Amino acid sequence: MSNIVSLKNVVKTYQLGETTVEALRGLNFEIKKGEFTALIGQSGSGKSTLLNLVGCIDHPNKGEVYFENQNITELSESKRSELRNHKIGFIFQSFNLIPVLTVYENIELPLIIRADVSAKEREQRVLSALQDVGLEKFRDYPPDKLSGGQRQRVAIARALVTHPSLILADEPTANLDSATAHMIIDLLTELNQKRKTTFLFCSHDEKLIGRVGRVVRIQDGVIVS
Amino acid sequence: MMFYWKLAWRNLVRNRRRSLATASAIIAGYAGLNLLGGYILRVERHLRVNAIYVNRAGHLSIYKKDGLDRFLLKPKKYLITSDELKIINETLHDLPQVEFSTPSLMGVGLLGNGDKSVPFIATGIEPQAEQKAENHPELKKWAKELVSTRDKDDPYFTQVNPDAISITKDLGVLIGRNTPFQNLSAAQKDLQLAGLTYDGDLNAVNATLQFQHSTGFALTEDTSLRAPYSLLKSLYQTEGATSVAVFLDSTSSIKKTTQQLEQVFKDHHLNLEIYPFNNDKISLFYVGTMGFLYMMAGFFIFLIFTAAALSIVNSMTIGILERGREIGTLRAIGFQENDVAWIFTREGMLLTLTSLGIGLVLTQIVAALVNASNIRFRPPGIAGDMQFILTPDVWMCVMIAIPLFLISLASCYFVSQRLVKKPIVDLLVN
Repeated sequence: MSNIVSLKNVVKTYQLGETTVEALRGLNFEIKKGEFTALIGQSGSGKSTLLNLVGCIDHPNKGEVYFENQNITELSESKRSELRNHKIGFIFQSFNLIPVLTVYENIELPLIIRADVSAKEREQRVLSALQDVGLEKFRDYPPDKLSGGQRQRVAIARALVTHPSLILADEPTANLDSATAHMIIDLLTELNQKRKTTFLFCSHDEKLIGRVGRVVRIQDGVIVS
Repeated sequence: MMFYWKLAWRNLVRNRRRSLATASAIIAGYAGLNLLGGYILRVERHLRVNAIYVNRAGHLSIYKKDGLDRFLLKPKKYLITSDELKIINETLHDLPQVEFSTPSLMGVGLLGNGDKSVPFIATGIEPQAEQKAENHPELKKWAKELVSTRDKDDPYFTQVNPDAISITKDLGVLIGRNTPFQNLSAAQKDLQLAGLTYDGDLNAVNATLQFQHSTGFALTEDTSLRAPYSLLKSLYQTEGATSVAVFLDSTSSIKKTTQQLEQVFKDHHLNLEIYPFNNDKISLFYVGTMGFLYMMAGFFIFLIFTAAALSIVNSMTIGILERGREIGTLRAIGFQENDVAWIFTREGMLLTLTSLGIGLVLTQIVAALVNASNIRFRPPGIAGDMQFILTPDVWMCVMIAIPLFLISLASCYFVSQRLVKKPIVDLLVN
């Protein structure tokens, strides 16, 4: 299988006052198409930074990030937005749903800016995503009327609706109880198998490791296993 | 497109407390500016119709060159001759924007009742023009207090009584005639006008005191006398005129008419000059008062605008800054920087337009209440009192709304533009 993402000698530093913190230190990493990968590491190990670089929402200080063989570090901001919209789905720890939009409208949101998707197709895709996450009955609910697990399922549907090549999930279960967390991971696994979508999620919850295909450990900004 | 407007509206409703605070600033600022503008407009129109119709200056006054300054010193030299009057009248007759015109004769003299005499400054215009000026809708609309007591069927205007004169109430007191003059006996109405002809001889004519008028200004309220043009021609033994007053359909026709007349005067080698009503030599009070009012209004408008604009910018800035994570999310799922900036700009547009609409309604309500209250006051230099009326004009309100709208729009756009350019990862941890 070909690589969907590859990082070569990536260095990312942050400036915290007078101190320079090295989040990633010459990191090399690859994800193959269709993989379901968990990025495991303690807080501050660099897993969120790695996810942000792969998701095209941050820039490395050094090194190259390739997405489907395209060096995304060289892309303009506009092209990066386009890439995120077409190829990458995001699932956030805090769900990040738009509070004034209904479940249906939140899922529809990434398609609103797509000129290549007609209104009819948009509707079909949203309904299909709603069905995938089992929230058909809640389509007209505002997010604040839903439970944490339901909100995260809306976020998953929003990530799926654009039919992305890669879905990135940053601590998707951190704000959920363990039963709901397992349900969410099971749902992601099921979608990975059903849609053949590549998943990369980061977590520091060791209990989830056994439920994913590939586990990558990161420590002090380098891959350790 | 509708999706964005829906999103903007819902966000405004969701943040209703802040939206209300911002809207209140816009509504109060806008209504305040409208009412201030409405007051200035009312004063300007009042003084304008006073200058044009009450003082019979017309929109344009045609004088012999330097005649405006020197006529009373050397009337014969600066008189517009009957030949010149003929050319002027023919020219004016052909201009469609001219509603009417009249030669005007000005002079000084003594008004006598057989026992005593008091000085007067007389203005004589043609009775038909007098009638048109007195009954002009603009005068009735903006300065009805200054419309004299005579009605349109009065013989003065039909020239049945060619020696009828009108004097001010204060001049009547000086000559021992109290208002209403219509109630005086025939003997009491008989007065004499005496003055020097333009050849320097003493002359006198009989006059009938028929009417009362007001000049609108305290300074001239005890000397003003109005008479038919023909009566003053007899008194001063002349066929000419001091000036010609030209009444136009609109003040916007002033420039065009002036250019047309200047060309005719040039072609006929006439040594005449034209003054608009807002020339300080014609209406010093109008120019002085409006200059002061505009300066004062400019200061207040600046203050209100600044306060309203700062309030809008402040409120919008806080509102947008608080929603950094939302902006980050939109950017992460593929919205371009401009797309996100326009979502917030739409919110500003909706809020401002709604506030301006409410502000407009509030303006009309306050103006109607003030006008219905019949508040009266006596402005400095004005004869008698006048009602405090607010007349916020629709176009004026629109002209005030446009910059407010643009300020609001610009503040939303630039604040959100600044924020959307921040790194997405920073926005997401907001």
